[in-house]
Amino acid sequence: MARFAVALFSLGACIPIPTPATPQAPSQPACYDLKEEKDKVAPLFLARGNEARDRALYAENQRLMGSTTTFGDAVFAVWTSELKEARDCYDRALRVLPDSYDAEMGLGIIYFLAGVRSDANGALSLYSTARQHFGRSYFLRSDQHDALLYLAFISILERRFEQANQILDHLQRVNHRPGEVMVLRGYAAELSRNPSQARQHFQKAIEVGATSSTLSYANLKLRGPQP
Amino acid sequence: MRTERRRKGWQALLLALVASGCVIETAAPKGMPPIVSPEEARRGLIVGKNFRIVVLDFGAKESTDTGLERTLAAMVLTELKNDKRFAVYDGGIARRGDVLVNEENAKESADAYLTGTVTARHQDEVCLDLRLANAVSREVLFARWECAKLKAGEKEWPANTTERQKITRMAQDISRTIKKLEPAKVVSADGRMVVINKGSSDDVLRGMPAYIEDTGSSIGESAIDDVVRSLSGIKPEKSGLRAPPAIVGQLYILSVEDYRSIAILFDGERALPGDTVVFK
Repeated sequence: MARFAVALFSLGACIPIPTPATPQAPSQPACYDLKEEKDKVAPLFLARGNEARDRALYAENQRLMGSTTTFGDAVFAVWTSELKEARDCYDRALRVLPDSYDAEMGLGIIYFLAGVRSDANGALSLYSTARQHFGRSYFLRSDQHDALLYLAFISILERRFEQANQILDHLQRVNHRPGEVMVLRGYAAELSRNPSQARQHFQKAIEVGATSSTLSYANLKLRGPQP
Repeated sequence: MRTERRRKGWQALLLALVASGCVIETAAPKGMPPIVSPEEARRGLIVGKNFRIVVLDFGAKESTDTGLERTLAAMVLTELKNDKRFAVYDGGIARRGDVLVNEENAKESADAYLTGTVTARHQDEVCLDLRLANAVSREVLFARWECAKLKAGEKEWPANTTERQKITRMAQDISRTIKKLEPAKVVSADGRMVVINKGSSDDVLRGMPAYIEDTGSSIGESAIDDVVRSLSGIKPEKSGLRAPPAIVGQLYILSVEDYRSIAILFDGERALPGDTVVFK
């Protein structure tokens, strides 16, 4: 946990991050608003965690897609507070339900997101923690394939292309999120300096279909400057 | 004065930084793919694992003043319970006209309901038609009739050993007909329709209830297990992970072929190929 806190506050921002009281930033994590004893159950913690996680995911995707090129303190504080709240909720859910697949997945995504935002050194340890949570998720519910998708994503970011390809091959065999798999293949090809292959993968992603944000990304890549 | 000037200097620097837009440094390369929100895991269901039968009040062709319908229902219930194959529930058979469970709501408490009708009643004979139906689809799984000889003046089903044994045999026939089968696997699923890999050659019957466990898809993909082990450092054997499979759906058999059956998922979100189908 301490590592997470350190990483969150050393995210490479160019000034120390204040914690301004913005209208959007909750003064106290909502997970702690669950006062009634009857409400302190894993499903509610998970629901709160998922809400906060998705808000943070949305903000991060906006940034990744270039909608927010600059990131002011206030927005960043909101993003940070969402991540903290989600983490608190998942931690509490795990205390109640130690083998919760959803909590493990949620924590994996949170550390993954923090890793994406972190500098290279911070990212290493955050990705490592994310990998552990995704690993636990996979072994808890191997019928769910999203943990594998994120493990492939992290492997690509860490330039472990062989392992990433093994996972992506498997996901392709079971036809899990075919568009996302092709986009990750394209991204891996880009990082391996194989732009023509990357374009083929992005094209394929559009053909097989994916979530709207993944499709926007693939389109953006295809419309962008030719390699 | 000097402190004041220093403070103003810092303020100006901060303002300039904020105004210029503080771009956060990131380890990720520019133009990284979006991060998708994970799919929710299939919700686990609380399901009775035994074949649950609720015994309903029996009807009669003509209403009897002896309460024969109730007596017969009670006898069948006792024999079914003694057989131990099923979990047997009392649908309120002793409360005629104010029943707790009927054909409409039987599915809330059981997988099948058992009912019967006194179809013939003569001076020297009484006949009963018994049927067991799936509580969701109402498909009849078992139907049988039986008659008992009455002595002069006798109005009830005779309690003597021979006639009572007819009821015992009927109850035993139910468990012989609806066997406890070995689990099957989901071969494919399309919405509510689920194809499973066992059929009439394995004694699968139309109307049989079953539940599905989430053992779908990647179980046994040891190559992927190894990749995940090496990436995450998690060893499920040592850490006691691999939670027991959750029950994620309930279904009943709609149609049966020799080596496969089609079932309808009536409870749960979805079935996946590789899920285990446990017959009740």
